[in-house]
Amino acid sequence: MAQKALRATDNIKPTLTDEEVLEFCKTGLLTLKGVIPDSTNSWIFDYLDEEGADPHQLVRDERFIDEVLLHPAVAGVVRSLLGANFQLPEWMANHRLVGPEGARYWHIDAGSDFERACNLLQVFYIPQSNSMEMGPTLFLPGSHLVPIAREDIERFGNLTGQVATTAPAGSVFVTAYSIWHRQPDKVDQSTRNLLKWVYWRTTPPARDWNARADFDFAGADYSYMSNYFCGGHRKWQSVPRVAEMFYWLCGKADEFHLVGGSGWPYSSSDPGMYSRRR
Amino acid sequence: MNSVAAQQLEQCIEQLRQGELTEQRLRELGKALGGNGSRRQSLLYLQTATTAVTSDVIGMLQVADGEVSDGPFDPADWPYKSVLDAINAGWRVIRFPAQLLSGHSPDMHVTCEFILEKWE
Repeated sequence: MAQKALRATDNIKPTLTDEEVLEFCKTGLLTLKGVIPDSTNSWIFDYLDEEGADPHQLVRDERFIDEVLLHPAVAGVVRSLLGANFQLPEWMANHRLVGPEGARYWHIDAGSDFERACNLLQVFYIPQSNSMEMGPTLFLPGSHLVPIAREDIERFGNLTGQVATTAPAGSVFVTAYSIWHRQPDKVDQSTRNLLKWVYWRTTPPARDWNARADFDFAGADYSYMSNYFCGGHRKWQSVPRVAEMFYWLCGKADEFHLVGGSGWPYSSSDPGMYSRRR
Repeated sequence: MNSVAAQQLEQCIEQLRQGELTEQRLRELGKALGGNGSRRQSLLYLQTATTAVTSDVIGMLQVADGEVSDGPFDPADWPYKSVLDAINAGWRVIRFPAQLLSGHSPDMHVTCEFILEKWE
């Protein structure tokens, strides 16, 4: 019989501002460096080191739920992006590497739709520090809004703008599901654990994070600068996608529109804004 | 023509002038011209910002000596900053970006990629 899904309670406080939510729409990646304390990292690392350890069991472990899944820094971000009563994970994977391992291909996970919405978040957690020698996951910020076939990106090597998850123990990486990612070569003898899970939205999007009344929707900068995507040629392409995702998260999907040319969301100083005021 | 074959050809011409060219020598030249010897194909995948050969390289992967390499992690250390740089270093383009039908739109994204080769 399937387990009943757990949902966050009403007392979870959102932590993100309008600007931070907009930044997440641009990059699809939010890093919380070293937020999980060493005492927690230590018992989790030890558990994963046990013979026959099943990371999946952690999703129903009350201590893991309290100390990681609902850690205020983590849950505050998830509450901001997925709204109240978000659903906790029902599965957990550990991408564990022991000793040297060759690189994996760039990929997107199954079911990626590059949607300009946010109904789920894929989260990565490292209970030990990660160096470049340990094959830290690479992300390409901004790629969550760039449709591509998995078969096409498998042949890619290093990409400009890629970021490595080199970070202290206890770091958590919150990602938009469709972000491109890979594991590069692991060249040292260490053991690397990488726990990965998904949170789900259960309520319609609303701008119920730490929003402020005077946020300027018309004049906000929706462009994403990236060495891979922009370079003068791609920046314009990011603008409508980022704006659409942000409006969706604000519960304002019906108000999103494109008038073409340099109209909003590229610029707020043109007649295109008429349709927003109707 | 590879450099060994070119050298043998020059020797044969000289031997012909001297009246010393033999059947055996010509067969050796034929072998040098016909076989690839130990040469292998190298491939270079360059993703670029646009379809222009002068466009900035934004991604790379190389196949050389039978090994696949992602290239240096830092783009500043990549061997070629543009496709033209690679052409000038002896690489030969064997595939140009071919996504002309789709074009840019709010929903589509054009990935520009050149594939180049060398025989070494």
